[in-house]
Amino acid sequence: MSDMHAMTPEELAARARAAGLDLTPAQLAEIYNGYRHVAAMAVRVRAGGRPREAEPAVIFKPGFGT
Amino acid sequence: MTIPTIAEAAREIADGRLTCTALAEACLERIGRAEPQLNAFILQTPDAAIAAARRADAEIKAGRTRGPLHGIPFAHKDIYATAGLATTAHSRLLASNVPAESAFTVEKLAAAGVVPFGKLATHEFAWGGPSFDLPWPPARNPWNRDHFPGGSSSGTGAAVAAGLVLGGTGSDTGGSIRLPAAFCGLAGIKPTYGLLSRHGIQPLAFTLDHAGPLAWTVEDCAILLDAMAGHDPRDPASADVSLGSFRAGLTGDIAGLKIGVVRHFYEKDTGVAAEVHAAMTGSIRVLEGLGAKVADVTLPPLQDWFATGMLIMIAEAYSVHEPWLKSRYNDYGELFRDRVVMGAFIGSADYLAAVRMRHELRGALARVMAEFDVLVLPTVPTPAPRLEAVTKYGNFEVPNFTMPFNVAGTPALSVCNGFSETGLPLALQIVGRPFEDAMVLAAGHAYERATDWKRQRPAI
Repeated sequence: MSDMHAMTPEELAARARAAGLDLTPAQLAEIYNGYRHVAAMAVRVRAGGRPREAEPAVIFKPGFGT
Repeated sequence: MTIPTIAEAAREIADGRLTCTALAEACLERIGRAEPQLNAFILQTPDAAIAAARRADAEIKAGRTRGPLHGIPFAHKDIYATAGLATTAHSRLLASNVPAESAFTVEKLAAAGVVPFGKLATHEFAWGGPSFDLPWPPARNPWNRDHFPGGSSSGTGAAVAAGLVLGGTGSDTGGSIRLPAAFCGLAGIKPTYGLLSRHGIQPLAFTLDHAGPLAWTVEDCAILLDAMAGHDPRDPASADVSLGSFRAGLTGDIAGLKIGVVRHFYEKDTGVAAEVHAAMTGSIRVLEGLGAKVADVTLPPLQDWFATGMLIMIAEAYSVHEPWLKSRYNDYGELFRDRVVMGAFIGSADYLAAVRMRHELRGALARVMAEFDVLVLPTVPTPAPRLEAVTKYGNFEVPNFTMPFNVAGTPALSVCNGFSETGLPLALQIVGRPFEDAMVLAAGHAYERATDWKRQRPAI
């Protein structure tokens, strides 16, 4: 599980500062409300694990070709 | 004048019963009456429209007919670059942006002879809406102006439904063509990824963005797709394929077509309004009556598709907007910035997990579609909500029925599927295999002909 899933409001604020974003406390509080949904999505795509060699669709090709 | 479809107008123009100028004037008259209530346009170009319509009449009179789009009133979503004409993405950040060249699809449609009526409202950068803190107001639904027209191709949905233009462009990263088509009672197709060039269209998420048309009928969408498709080396994802005429495949005959119903998406994975469920049941009955063979199918859970698509979209959109988010955060509207900023909190392993899951999901869909020609499901779970009911993170909470086919890159069409008790459109989504857009259109066209949903237009 990514460390983002346990992120506190303070950690989110620190991550925003590190990303170069200049946000007000009110903006950070609002964003934290939405962040929980994104965190849940990240948990879902990581759930169950997959083989280390499982390929990504790094280069997305039209069609079902693999 | 009763507003015709593109196909009807083309026939009347070809027969000499209608002039392009008279059609343009009729649309301008409707715009004058309806636009103050709909906010469908960011920029209107009435003088250019009349001049282009007169040129089209002169060309047709001289025997230089360009085809079924010659002289047809049309407008572009304001993320499509138009040379010499402001292209704002409905954002303060691009308020003074005037591109030097047009998008590939804009050029193709111009060559086909469409008459340009201006630029249409969108959600900011095709994601941030409906917003009330931007230089232009959000578009409203012509079936009920207190309701959401869908988005992000919101102005296109409103303008086409109200008959202000006969067709328009949209873009679709997680449903932005199909949602306004659904809420406004239109046909709208997100073609196969790679079929239409994205060159000259403001990017939202590189691997999920699709260009496409919205129009009153499936036949009109096929006509537009015929004009818009074509290989473009300037778009690295552009496929070098020739699929023939989409319109020519609209025979009305779908006997024997194998149709899979993705029932678990709307009965188990998430819910839909009772009238949406009833409309689905009715549409399946109609398709069976047309001779199609219908059976339920099972795909990975809707939530897997949605999480995969959302994480990819947020990460890719953040990468596009990161410089401006650092320097001009407060110049964006609140909805867009507070959604896209989530990309700052997605780790590389999270993004790659989504991209790896995307590969698995596409494989699962390919296996199911080896046995079925098309899949059907609702486009939206409810009729259009009221504008104020659309919240900042509402589209993060509930998985939608459109994102799976952006993740897969498959063609997906929305067609009108009746009306709610309150008179708002319902919608059916038809999904096909990659580059089998013609089969999707053929199924949608046959369904449209077998129902009478297209007889109603919103009153303006």
